[in-house]
Order: sequence, then C-alpha cells, then structure tokens
Amino acid sequence: MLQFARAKVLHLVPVLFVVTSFSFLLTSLLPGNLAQLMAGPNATPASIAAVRHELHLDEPLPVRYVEWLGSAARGDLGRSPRTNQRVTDTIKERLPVSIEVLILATLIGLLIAIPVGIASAHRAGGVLDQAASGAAFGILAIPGFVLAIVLIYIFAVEFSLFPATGYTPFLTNPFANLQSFFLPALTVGLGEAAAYMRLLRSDMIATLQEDYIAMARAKGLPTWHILVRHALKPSSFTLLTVLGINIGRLMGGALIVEIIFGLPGVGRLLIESIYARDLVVVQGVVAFVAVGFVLINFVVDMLYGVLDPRIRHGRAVA
Amino acid sequence: MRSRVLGILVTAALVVVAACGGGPSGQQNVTGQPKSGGSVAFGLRSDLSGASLDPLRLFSDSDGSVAYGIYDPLLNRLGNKGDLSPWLADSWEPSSDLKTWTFHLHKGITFQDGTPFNAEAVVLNFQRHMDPRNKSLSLGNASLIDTVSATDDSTFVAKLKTPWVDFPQTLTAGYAFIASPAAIKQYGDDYGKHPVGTGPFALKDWVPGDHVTATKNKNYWKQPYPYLDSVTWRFIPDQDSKYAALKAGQIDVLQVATADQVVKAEKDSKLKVSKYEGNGGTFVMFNTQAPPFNDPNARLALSYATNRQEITHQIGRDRYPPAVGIFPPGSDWFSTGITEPKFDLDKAKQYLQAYGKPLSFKFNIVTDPITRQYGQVLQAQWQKAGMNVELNQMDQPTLIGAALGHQFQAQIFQYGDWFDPDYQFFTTWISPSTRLTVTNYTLYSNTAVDAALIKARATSDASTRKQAYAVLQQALAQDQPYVWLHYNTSYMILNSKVQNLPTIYSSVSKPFQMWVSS
Repeated sequence: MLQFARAKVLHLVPVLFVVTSFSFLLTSLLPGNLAQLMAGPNATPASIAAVRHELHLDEPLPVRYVEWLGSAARGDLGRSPRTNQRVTDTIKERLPVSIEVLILATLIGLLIAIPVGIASAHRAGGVLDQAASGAAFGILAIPGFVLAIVLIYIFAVEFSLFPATGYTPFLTNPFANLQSFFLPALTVGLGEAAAYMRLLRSDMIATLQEDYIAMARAKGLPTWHILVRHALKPSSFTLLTVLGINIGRLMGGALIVEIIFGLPGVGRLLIESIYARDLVVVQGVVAFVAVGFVLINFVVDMLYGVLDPRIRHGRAVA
Repeated sequence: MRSRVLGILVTAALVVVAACGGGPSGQQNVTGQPKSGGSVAFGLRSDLSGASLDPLRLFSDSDGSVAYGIYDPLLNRLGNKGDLSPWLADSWEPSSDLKTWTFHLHKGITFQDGTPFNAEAVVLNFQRHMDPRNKSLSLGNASLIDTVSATDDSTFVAKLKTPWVDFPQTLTAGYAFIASPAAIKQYGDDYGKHPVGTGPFALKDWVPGDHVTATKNKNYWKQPYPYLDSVTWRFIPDQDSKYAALKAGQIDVLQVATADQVVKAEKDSKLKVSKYEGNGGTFVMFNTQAPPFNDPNARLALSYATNRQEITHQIGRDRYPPAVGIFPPGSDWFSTGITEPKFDLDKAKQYLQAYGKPLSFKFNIVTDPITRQYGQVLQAQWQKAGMNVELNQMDQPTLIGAALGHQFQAQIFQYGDWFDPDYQFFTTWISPSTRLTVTNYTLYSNTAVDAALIKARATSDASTRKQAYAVLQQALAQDQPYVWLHYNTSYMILNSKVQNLPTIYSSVSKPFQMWVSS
C-alpha cells in the first residue's frame, strides 16, 4: 500500500509541473499590454514603465516562471496588483463558499443517485427504472443556467422560500447559510444525481449478473442485503472515478452557479480576475485548483485500493 | 468620475450608466413625507473593483455607490443638471491664473471614529493619492497637483502644476472622499477593510464578494439626514438574478438596468424607474493613422451609412436618444449651425466612390450579448452601403488594450457622463505629439483643436470656452474620428416604497436623503 502511494506521489510531480507551466505560459500569452491596463486610465509613459518593472514584465518569461514557481512552492502566490491582497488570502476568503457548494451538491447528488440507482438496477426495465431514466435524461438535457433560473423563479420569486442570490457565512447564521446554499446546491446536485444514477445503474446491472450474486440469492439472503452489501461496493468504481473528477472540478468553483446566485466563490474570483486581467490571481487560482484536482484524484486512486484489494497488491484489473 | 472612460466601457454595458440626480432637489417619483427608520438594499452589478474601500482603490460605479454611504466628498453633484454643490467644503475659489485653489471647509464635522475633520486631514488624504507608491486609481488627476497645504484648521489649498479650470469637477468622487487619518494610521495596509469616513452610514458588516452593510451614523453632521437605519449593497453580477432579487424583495434598488428590464419594470405596479439622461456616449471609433480609416472619405462613408435611429429603436427599445455629434443638442456646449453627418445612403455611396476602392475592415466588439447586437445591426447597415465588414469579438480588457495600443481599425466604445467638456475631452482629442495623453485612442491630430483645448482649459470665461469648443465640434463633425451612435441614459429600478433617491449621475446612488414609506 505504501509503495502504491509513493508511486502515485511521484506521478504528481511532473503533472503539477506541466499544469503550472501551462497556466503561466497561457496567461502570459494573453493579448493586451498588461502594464498599461494596470497603470489605469490616466497613465503616462513613465508610470507604465514603472508598473512593468514592478510586475517584472521586463524580465524574460522563463526567469519570471522560475521566480514564480519558487515562491509558489513556499506557499506564496504573490500579491494582486489590483487589490494589493495576498492571493493566498483571497483564495482562503473564497474557498469556503466553493467547498460548501461542493459538499452540499455532492450530498444531494449521492442521496438521490444511490437509492434510485440501486432500485433501478434491481428491476431494470421496470416502471421505476423507466421513470428514473426519463427524469435523468431530462435533467441532463437542461443546461445548469436554465435550471438555476427556473429554480430561482419558482422558489425565490413565486414562493419566497429561498433567497434569489447572496451568501451568509455559516458562523454568522447557520440557518440562513443553508438557506442561501440550497438552490445553488440543488442546481449542481440534480445534474450530478442524474449522471451518478445512470453510472451506478449500469455497473450494478452488470454486477448482478455475476455468479456470486446468484450464489447469494440461492443461499436465501434478503434482497436488500445482496444489493447493498454484496453488489454496491464492486459496482461503485465508475461512480467513484466520476465523483473524484467532479469534486476536483467543483473545487475550482461551480462557475455558472456562482455567477447566477451571486456566490463569492473561487470560480467567480477566477472570472473576475480574468476580466480585470489580474494575471497574478489567475495564475495563483489555476495553480491552486490544479493541485487540488490532482490531490483529489490521488485520494480517489487510493480509494480504489480500498475497494479492490487486487489494486493495492499491484495486480492489474483491466 | 473620469475613470469611467475605461471603467464602464461596454460591458453588459452598453447598458448605460445610471446617473443620479436628485438630492435635495432633483428627486424623482417621491411620495409621502420623510420618515426615519427602515433599510434599503442596493443591487450593484459588480464586486468592489479593488476588494477594498480605501479611497485609493475606488473606481467603478459600484465602488462609488458604497463610498457615498461611508464617506463624504469635498463637493457634491446634486440637482438635475449636475452642478457642483458645497459638501465637506462650504465654498471654494481659484486664483486668477487658475493654478491655486482654496477650499473653505465646513466646521464641526467629526469622522465616525471621533477624529475631528479638518484641513490637515484633507491634506493627508490628498498626499496619499499624490504619492505614486500608493498606486492610487486617482493618480491621473492627483499627479496634476503640485502641492497641498492647510493654511488654517478649515482652509485647504491645492496648488496645481498648470492652470486647470476643471479641477473642482474632479472633487466629487475618487480622491475627494476623505478618510479618517487616525484609522489610516491604525490599520495601515489593511485600512481598505476598515474604512472610516464622515459619511451618513458607518461600516458594520462586509462579506467580500457578497455584500457590505452599514448602519446609521447618529452624529451625522448634515441633519436631519440620514433617515434610514441601515443600508446594504449587494454585488450581483448576473442581470437576470439581479432582477429576480428585486422581484423577490431581496434588493430594493436595481442599479444599471438594461433597456429590456426598464420596459418590463414600467409595466409593474410594484416597481418604479429612475433615470438620468446623461451626455456620455456610445460610439464607433476609427484608427485615423492606419488604413482604411486614415482616409477621411472612408470615415465619412461609414458615418453616413449608419442609421442611429434604428440602433436606439431595435437595441435600446427607444430608451436612449440617438446621437448627433459630440455635444447633445440640449447641452450648454452645443453650437448650432454645424453640419453633422446623418444617415444618408446616397451620400455614403458618394464618399465610398471618392475613397475609390472596395472598403473592407474589421470591427472590434465585446462578446457580451448586448454589444453583439450592436455589432450585428451595424454590420448589416454598413453592408447595405456596399462595405465588407468582419466582426471581431473580444473580451473587454482586450478591447481596452486594443484601444490603448491603437491596434484596431474600427471599434465600439463608450464613455460615461461628463459635466465639463475639459474633464472628458481634453485627453481624448489633444494630439498625441503633445505627450499630454495616452487615451487619444484614434490618434487624431489637429493643431487647431489642440490650441482650442489648451485655451479652454486655461480660462474660466464661459463665452471664450464655448467658442473654443465650437472649434472642436466643427472639426470632429468634419473629420469624423468617431461616429456617435447614441447618448447614454442611466436607469435604476426601485421598489415603489423607496423614496428620494438622488439623481443617478454615472450610475452611482447616494443614500443620505433616502427613506422608505410604509
């Protein structure tokens, strides 16, 4: 197990290097004279030169990258020239919002997907299966921004049950906090539920064909016991993989949802910074999200080992 | 705010900046008598641009709206025509050469933390903006000041590097919001998170990216204001969510409304619309030093092929007036008897013939849905005249970058409301060779215009100035470095119980005199 983990960690290094260098390079290639934009509307040639120097834009790209990487490795992502705030502080300020959407949406997704997925697989082709599949395809076909607006219209404008936009920190008022997160989490969670449900259902149908399930049935074990204890674990590989990818993605903020519901998360920070050409923040956020993404997938890889002992003993499964 | 030259530009923008007038005069749709208590929530279209409430970092209409709650400016723009009124300064006068300006400050004011407000505090605030190391967003204006001093406790003197008749026009926002020197000293670099002003409301609660709440300053120096117990500013980037929040009662004032929202709100008995017909403009500008628009015939052909009425009708739902030229006909600065190009396809074709070859070019626009409509309608109009137009879509910073770097042939652009022509047009039209500007995007160069602009800046005689600006109007009508499309009207949508919102200049709201009726 330890060896497996060590091998995975070694893989991380080149991945992170590639990701950070690409993010650095891409943001450096953006058009427009950054120094001129930063110097403001009443800039003079002299003030533009001063900004250039301060942002180290007068140095060659590789030198800037190595300097940036060096301080990033020490946990210093620099200061935004726009707000003069430390990028790490800004991310810390925004991260709880994105993490809460992530957790609540994932919970909603799994709470719907697991029972419905199991039940659909159990009686594949039955009434419940067909209804659930129809609903899932319907939800998958609706873009998130449409779903969000429809939910706002129903729950905020017509019935005034939840706020249309805005965010209350958990420590200020836990109830208002959950209220403000319900609609965004539902928007993201419904889409995920549909996807997870379909994945779990198809894997589970395959598992239920296995001989050991027939054996369990023959032994007279109750159906729920077979489904939950025997079939669920081996059927959850694809679900886990997609879950890992989704969680990694949501760490970078559920972009559309954060904009529509006015949540101050990481995704909105990234978009605002791109529009303001605040490249120091863009680089910092991209690097942070990439590292988070890679780490979460690392955890998922480790969980495969828990689910299937063959993996941690180094025997290939497929 | 001059900063809007870049600030507002074309975002969801061609949306228009609301301006607010009002004030003790100039309120719109007011019913009932002032009443103390209650609260109002404003829906702003963007987060604070510097994530800070330090006057050094105030820039956009959203920043300004929050700042007018917490701070007071030296002078204020109240009433319907945007005239300057006394505020922290009771009166002011220039020296005869327009280089030394003396301000007599109101006495007996204290900051929200108890620090006395005096000339020394104003000096310290201005010196912060003038020091380039502080990277003030007002540095452009502040760098025109040579020295500032306090001759006594209530007299503030600013000595400028050159004569500048327009200096007081800049003292209603930005560097004219005065912060408590004690708080600046106490919090240092972190001051922007702990703002203390003399304003009608004091900061209570701030969730970055979501909202700022401020409560009544019970010792406000301008009684009986404020009426409200508290004010909240919410940052809501999405237009549809902002409107839903207004309908759901989460916000009471929707700032910077689109034409479509205005049309909807006018039919809604629970809402009312506040507007300010500004003189800011939306226009197409040309690079006058690069082909094809270095040839005046090409610019005139395009101007005559542009149907401004169709634009304001189709996109602006007739909520903005079509433009004639640099000055709106109702403006004090408008000179009659100057012929400005109007829509005329025959004339367009004549100028195309004079140009002598097929006219094809790239037209830069921003990718947001509203600006794209401008692009498509204009493209269709110009193609009708026989031009070959390619739309070139980009995000806003790229468009601004293209403007500053003169990397364009024709592009759409916008500026906010201005109150004196010098303020807006000096840096736009003075020749680049004077090295007095980096924002002459079109590289327009005309020695007669240079002389007129310099003359108008250095005198306070109204008729001399008007004559000088007639030279500018005439030259621009003839040379068409810009094709003006329409003047901007600012709109805000209010819950009908919200009363006495002052006139909304530059899309900025001021809460000091507002109240809510039951």
